[in-house]
Amino acid sequence: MQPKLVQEELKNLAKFPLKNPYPVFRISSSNKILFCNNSALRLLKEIGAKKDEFNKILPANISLLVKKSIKSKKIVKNVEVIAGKKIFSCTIVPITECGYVNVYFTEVTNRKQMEEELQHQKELAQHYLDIVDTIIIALDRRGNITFINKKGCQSLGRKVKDILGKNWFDNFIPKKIKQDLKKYFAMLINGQMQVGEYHENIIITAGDNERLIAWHNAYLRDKAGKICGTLGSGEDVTELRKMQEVLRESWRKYHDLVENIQEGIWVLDKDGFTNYVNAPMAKMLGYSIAEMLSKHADTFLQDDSRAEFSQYIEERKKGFRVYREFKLLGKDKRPLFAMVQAGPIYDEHGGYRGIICGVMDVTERKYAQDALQQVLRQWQITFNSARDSIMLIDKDHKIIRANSETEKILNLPLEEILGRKCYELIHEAHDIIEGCPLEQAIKNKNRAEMELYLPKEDKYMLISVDPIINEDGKVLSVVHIMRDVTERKRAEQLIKNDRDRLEGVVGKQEVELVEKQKELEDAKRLSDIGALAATVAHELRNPLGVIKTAAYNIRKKANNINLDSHITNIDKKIAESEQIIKNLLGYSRIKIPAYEFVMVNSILRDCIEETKRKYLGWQVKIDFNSALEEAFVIEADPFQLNEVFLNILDNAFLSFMSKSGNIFISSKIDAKSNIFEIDFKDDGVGIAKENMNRLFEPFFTTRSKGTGLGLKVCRELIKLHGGTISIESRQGFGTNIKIRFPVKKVE
Amino acid sequence: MKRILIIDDDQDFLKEMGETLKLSGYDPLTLSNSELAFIKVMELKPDLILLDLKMEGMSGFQIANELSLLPETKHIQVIFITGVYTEQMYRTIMSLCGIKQCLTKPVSPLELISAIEKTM
Repeated sequence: MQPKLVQEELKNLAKFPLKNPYPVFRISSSNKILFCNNSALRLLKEIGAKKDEFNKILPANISLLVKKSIKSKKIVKNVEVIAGKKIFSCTIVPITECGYVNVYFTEVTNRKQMEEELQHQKELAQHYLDIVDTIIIALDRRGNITFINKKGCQSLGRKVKDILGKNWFDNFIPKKIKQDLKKYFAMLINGQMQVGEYHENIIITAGDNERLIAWHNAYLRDKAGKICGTLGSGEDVTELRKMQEVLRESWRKYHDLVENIQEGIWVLDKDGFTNYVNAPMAKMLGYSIAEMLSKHADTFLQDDSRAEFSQYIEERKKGFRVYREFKLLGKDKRPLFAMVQAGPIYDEHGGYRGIICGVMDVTERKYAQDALQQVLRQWQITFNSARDSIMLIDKDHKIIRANSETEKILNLPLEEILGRKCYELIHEAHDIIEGCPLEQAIKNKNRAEMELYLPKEDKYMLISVDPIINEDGKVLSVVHIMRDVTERKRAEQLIKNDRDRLEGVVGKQEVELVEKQKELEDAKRLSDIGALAATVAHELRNPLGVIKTAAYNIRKKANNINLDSHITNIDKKIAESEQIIKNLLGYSRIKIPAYEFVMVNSILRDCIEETKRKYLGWQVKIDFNSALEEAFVIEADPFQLNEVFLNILDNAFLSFMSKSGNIFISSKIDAKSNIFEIDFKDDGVGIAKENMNRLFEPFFTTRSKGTGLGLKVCRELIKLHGGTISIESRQGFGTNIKIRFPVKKVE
Repeated sequence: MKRILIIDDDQDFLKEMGETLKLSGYDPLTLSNSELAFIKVMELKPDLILLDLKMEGMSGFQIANELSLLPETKHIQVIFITGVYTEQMYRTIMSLCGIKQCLTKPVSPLELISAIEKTM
């Protein structure tokens, strides 16, 4: 080697970093290794290469790189070399003046592995971010997109390359909100505002569609902790919000419905405790809503409604859809009538969760209904109590309503009457009959009548039809009254028949009939007279009493024979007046006997004595013969018996024109029929034949004085005792009166 | 002389009846105002009373009933006279008031005197 070259060499060698811990090679422009340090020799040795086999460690394109470096006089960095298990990063440094290069090796095996790991991790992260169902997007401080995941791309409808690096706000935010959002972002980045937990905004996707995204934002910071951007995770809530809106709308509707409805809403859980009530429900019962919640249904029900209510709930669970009335209990214990309709509530698995009830307060309606029903019932009763058939019939002859009596008369149940034509049921005709009173009533707007014979039932009916006319004068329907006049008709018929027959055969019965009628008329007249007479008679007794006493006093004081006959006359007339009064009273006193056990013979004897006293001085012989003992007792009214006996005796006395005669009285009992019999016989003037029929006629008398009531009263009183009186007489020979009484009271 | 009090609202009757009794040898006293009957009876202490049943003011029933309740008057005999209560329907009430003897107007003077004699 030439000394100059050696010198040169040494000089260059001096520049060679022999002590570098990493391998260093000097390579000539012709690609030869000029020199290497110990570390390099160790490396060669490690990989089992000889000194001249350095090609094995230098990069394959080393000659190219060396030439490039020498020519450009620039350092070539980061040339990767794999030697054995080690990885190196080479830096080629040109030594220009010498025309060769130093190649510095730096082992990067660990770094390389870390980088690969990092890359792997990054890919994994990317993968994760890609598979999550959330948009992930990172923005730098300028708002440019530095990262977006797959979902983000999908949401925006673009490819990654079309998105990355673009400004978020300029490209993906609608114009109307762009400026606001930019301002907001700037404030965020500058730390003038905290990142909101959450916000929503609209973005524009491919095809200019708008989507609503809900964002969670976080800051991205560099190593120094300075804010370098934001990371947002977003969720597409467009559909959600739409659904929420729909839900909100339906909730609003439901709320409006529930709170504004007049009906009470009452929700019970499966155990019957109150879950919810609306305001009207609480108000209805006088509670506040809070007071009602969690209370059992029974709290709000009257005792007698509780069992029925729980039964109703059970039924409703099975699905019977009915309104039912219950008696609720207000807070002030006042009873409420409520109409309840309940519907069961089920959870998503079909499990019974409770029941929702619609509750309507019908208390007032109920009271009104009750009152109305009461009235209706009364009307119904009245309607049905009528003894006549009453029907409401429309203009087309259809029967709208009918009462109970109609059922009886037509012999059909009500349901077979209503809706039928009246002529079908009443006349058994197929069309309106001739002279139909209904037609007449409608035509004349006035009552029409018709008499009808029903041969089947053998009944006579009087039909009267009254039109029901409205304010405009139109006939709406008619009231059809059918009265059974069979009895009357029969009576009329009977009288007519009788008359016909009597006229045809004999007039006897007619005469009797006339007599009876006359008797009836008399009786009526007499009962009126009787009442008047009784009053007058009573009143007359007082003055008569005074006159009587006065006459007695005159006779006593005067003791004048000249006055005597006059006073006797006064006495006589007083006696007559008394008899008139007695007869009148007796007549008015004919009433049911007050039965007592009486000794009839004794009464008769008293009467004989009384009559004798009355006719003092008369030459009348009375012969009383009785087959009975004195104490024989019968059941009779003693006063009435007294009246009868006195009357008969009086008549007998008065039949003696010459004030003398005989009276024979006998009494006996007919053991067979248990009848007590008394016989009065006199030998007085007797009764003229033509008068025999008129003896019991009231006010009939042949005497100038006398009321003509005596025998009449006798017969009536005896009749009341169930007895009889008979009279036989011959004019000029005397009269025989027989009275027969039952011994025992006649029921 | 037996003292007899006649109570009746008919003045004429009182006068005539008083006269009749006097003629028959009794000492008759008369009273037309039935309201005063009680006082008069206490005052006059009659041996017998002739009492009309139907009067204005107090009725004979009431007077008889009250007199029968007092020890001073319950022994006094009473004969009732009536023109009205002759019907059987009054019998029960009469017996309830202790009425045993009742004469019907117009009373015959002889009948009355015989009743008085019988009673005393």
